[in-house]
Amino acid sequence: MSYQVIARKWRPQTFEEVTGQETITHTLKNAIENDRLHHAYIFSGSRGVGKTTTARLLAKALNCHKTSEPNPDPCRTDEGNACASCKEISESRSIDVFEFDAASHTGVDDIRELILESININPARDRFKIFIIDEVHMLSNSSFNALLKTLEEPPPRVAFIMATTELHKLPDTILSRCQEFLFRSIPLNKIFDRLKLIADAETINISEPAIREIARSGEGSMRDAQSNFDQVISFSGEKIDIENVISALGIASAELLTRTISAIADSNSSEILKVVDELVSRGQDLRNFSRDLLAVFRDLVVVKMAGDVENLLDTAVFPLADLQKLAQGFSESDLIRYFNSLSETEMRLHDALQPRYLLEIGLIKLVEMRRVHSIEEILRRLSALEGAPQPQNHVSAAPTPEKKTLISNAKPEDAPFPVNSDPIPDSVGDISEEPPDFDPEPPPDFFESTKNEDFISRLTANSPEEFFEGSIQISSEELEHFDDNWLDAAYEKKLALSGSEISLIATASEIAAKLPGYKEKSESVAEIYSRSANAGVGGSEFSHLMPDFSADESYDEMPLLPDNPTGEELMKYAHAHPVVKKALRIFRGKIVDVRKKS
Amino acid sequence: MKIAGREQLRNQLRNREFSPVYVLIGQETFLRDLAAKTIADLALEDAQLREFNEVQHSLNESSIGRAVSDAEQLPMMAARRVVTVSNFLISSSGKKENLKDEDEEILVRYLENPSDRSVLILLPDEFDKRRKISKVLVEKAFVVEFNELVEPELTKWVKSKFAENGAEAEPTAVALLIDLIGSNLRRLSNEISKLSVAALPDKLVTKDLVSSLVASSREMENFELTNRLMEKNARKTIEILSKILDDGAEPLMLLGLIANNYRQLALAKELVIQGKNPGEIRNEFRLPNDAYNVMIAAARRTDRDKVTQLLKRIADTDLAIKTSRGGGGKKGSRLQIEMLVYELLSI
Repeated sequence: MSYQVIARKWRPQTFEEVTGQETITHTLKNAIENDRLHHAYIFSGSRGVGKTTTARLLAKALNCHKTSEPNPDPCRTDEGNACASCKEISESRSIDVFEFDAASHTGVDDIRELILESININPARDRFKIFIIDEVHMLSNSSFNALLKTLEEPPPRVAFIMATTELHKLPDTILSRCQEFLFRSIPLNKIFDRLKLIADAETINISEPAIREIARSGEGSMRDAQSNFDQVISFSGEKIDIENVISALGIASAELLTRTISAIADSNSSEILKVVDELVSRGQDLRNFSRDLLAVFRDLVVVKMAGDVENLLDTAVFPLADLQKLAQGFSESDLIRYFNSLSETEMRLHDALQPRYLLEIGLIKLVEMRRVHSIEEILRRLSALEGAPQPQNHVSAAPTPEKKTLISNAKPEDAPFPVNSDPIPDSVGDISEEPPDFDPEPPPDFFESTKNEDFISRLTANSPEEFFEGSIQISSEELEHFDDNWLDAAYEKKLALSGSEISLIATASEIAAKLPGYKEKSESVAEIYSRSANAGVGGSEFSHLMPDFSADESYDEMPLLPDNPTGEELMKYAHAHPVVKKALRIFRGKIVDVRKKS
Repeated sequence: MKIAGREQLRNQLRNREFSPVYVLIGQETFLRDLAAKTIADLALEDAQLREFNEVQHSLNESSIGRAVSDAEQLPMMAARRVVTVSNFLISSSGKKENLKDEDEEILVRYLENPSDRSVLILLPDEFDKRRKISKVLVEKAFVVEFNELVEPELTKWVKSKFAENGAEAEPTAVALLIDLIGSNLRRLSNEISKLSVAALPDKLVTKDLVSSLVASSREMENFELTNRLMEKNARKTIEILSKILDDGAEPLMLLGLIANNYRQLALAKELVIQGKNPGEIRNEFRLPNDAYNVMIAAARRTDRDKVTQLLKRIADTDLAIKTSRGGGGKKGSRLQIEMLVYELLSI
């Protein structure tokens, strides 16, 4: 006999052999044994989980000639003594079992011809006339309507078994007339067991990890796993091991995925390059690899968010324990950012001329992302700073928002931010389209290399004291990425303007970084302020950041705030407040809403 | 006559009294059809030639004129004739109607002088009580309304249905079943007969059995998903999401659902900021109480900018699915929608 693919050769012959759907087969057997059969069944579930197989088994059981009643254990057709009905059903040529594919018979005429016209004729030989309708969701609306009446009250000795992968496409009127069975995806270990059984029976020399990898590639579908098994067998020689499976199926091995994830966790770019090199030298599809990696990120998020949930995991590349271990190195938002960035890369891989470079850069981007902090975090730090101890002489003189009447003719040095009255450097003229708040020529020591880990650990500090322990500096890398596009764009623009030289941007985070306390804790904040006020070397460090509040700035009298100020009054007050004014200039912001602190 | 309830019909039938014309109305079509069948069964209890004395007309194919002329015929060797008329609407809206003015006249004329040897059962799928014909029917016929079952009636019904099928269900199993299916009696009855068979030979339906055999209804799950998402119940949300997707729901459909929810959230937030009072906000949404409370709580909790950001992310995901970012096809779009939900949960 010619070669038959595994999926067909090993199609289950009894209800017991249907893997992973024990509750359903048990229920059906019960129904047959106790004569409690429904006249119409719907089997739904994803591909390769046993719907058609179970439908045929049920048909066999109903019509088996071995017993005088429907037989829960129909004949096995691989043994010689199978009854005529069972044999014919397994060969799809039974006279009383009509199996047809709704995908190619969608119209109402097909339904009339195939079902309605013959339904009132008694079965020719067997107990029941059985209609197996595969892919039933493909029927047209009028076909469904034509079936309604028959489905509700079919003649005796007629049974309908419908199978579909898309239950939601069936009208409710059909659903309510049928008994529904939802076939779930088959767990990995059950597919593994079945494949192992087949391998043993067919005397195929294959290692267990290789079988596991094939089982995983089926993604819960037995048929997919078995087809892949076929593919591996024809690809490999005598002995099959995991390497054969990986190259035959072009899948990313767990090992490569682990290495990639660890490399991202450890910020190890060179490891990433090695992984991509390996992928290329094995001739694997890079896009597939990115998809596998995306799925792992998804699983990591699930583990992170939902905890102990094996049934929700998708890839089965890693056991739950491994995933939990890997997930420890990341935060949820990290993983989501990686996912978004990688899915972008994945899409671009589609038409990339040099997919290798694209994947390399895409993955290295993930490594770099680890050092990036969102603007929220940086703003949070800034607001933490606002609560930090202020130099005495400034606090006493600085106007505070709580006070209701204020004369804001304070001199620049009285403001909470040290203000330098130096004029804007001449170089600004070259970039006149830029607001004059920036100094394009930063002091060379402005950005010093920093310890990112240090910075990250400080973000979780419990108190300002802990936060300022030791010295902190933020590197330019940390400031590079922002969640807001316009900040990104502004930064890019700034870079272009100052050429390849490291450039400076005046953003909230930078100001935060340059505020006293980041620099050196040992040096009292007051000292720094006094130095800056003296416009000495230290003071010049801040000068470029601070807006110029020189003579042309007129300080109007602050409006008086009544006890219950209206929105308008509050807005006016805010606009006149010197601190707010400065903040607006520094951040180039605008006031959206002013509310009174209760 | 007034519109009667199920109990009145039951009492009447218990005494084997029959009205010449029944009109069975209401949303609970399963009970309605069951009642129609029971009336027919009892009216033809002793009839020897049931096939000759029972006629069913669907107005999709037949007409009320033919039904009435059937009802005017004398029964064949039996006490009564039963004529059932189904598949028609008595509606005020401009929906497809197969009960025309002249048909109504025929019916009204029959109602003036109905045959006492016939039982005419009308099963309109919609019954607008303001219509003239409706008023005539209410006056001259025996109109019974079948409303949707609510608790505790529903639980009682489920339990009795299990008993009918020769099985017993744990109280938790009953509760779960109702949770999963809702109050659709037709589906409930199907599921109950399936569960009773599955529970053989012990005849005890457990909660585990219910959760492994019953697929929950889509509408329930969708509400559940958005509600849990608003509550930020990560684990539950992820579970429901993967269940819905396993059942083959379209990711884009889910995305639309989620987007709609967050749009409402944004609107609610805006109204809260504007200081509108709860009544006004409630009017704006017309949501069921539970869903409304969850949403308002979420609106108070979430920052306005956050909501905007979330809406942007939803739009991004929409684009990602439509441009097959991250691998196209079913798997790719599934990944995208899952990651979006996780992100919504984490923000």
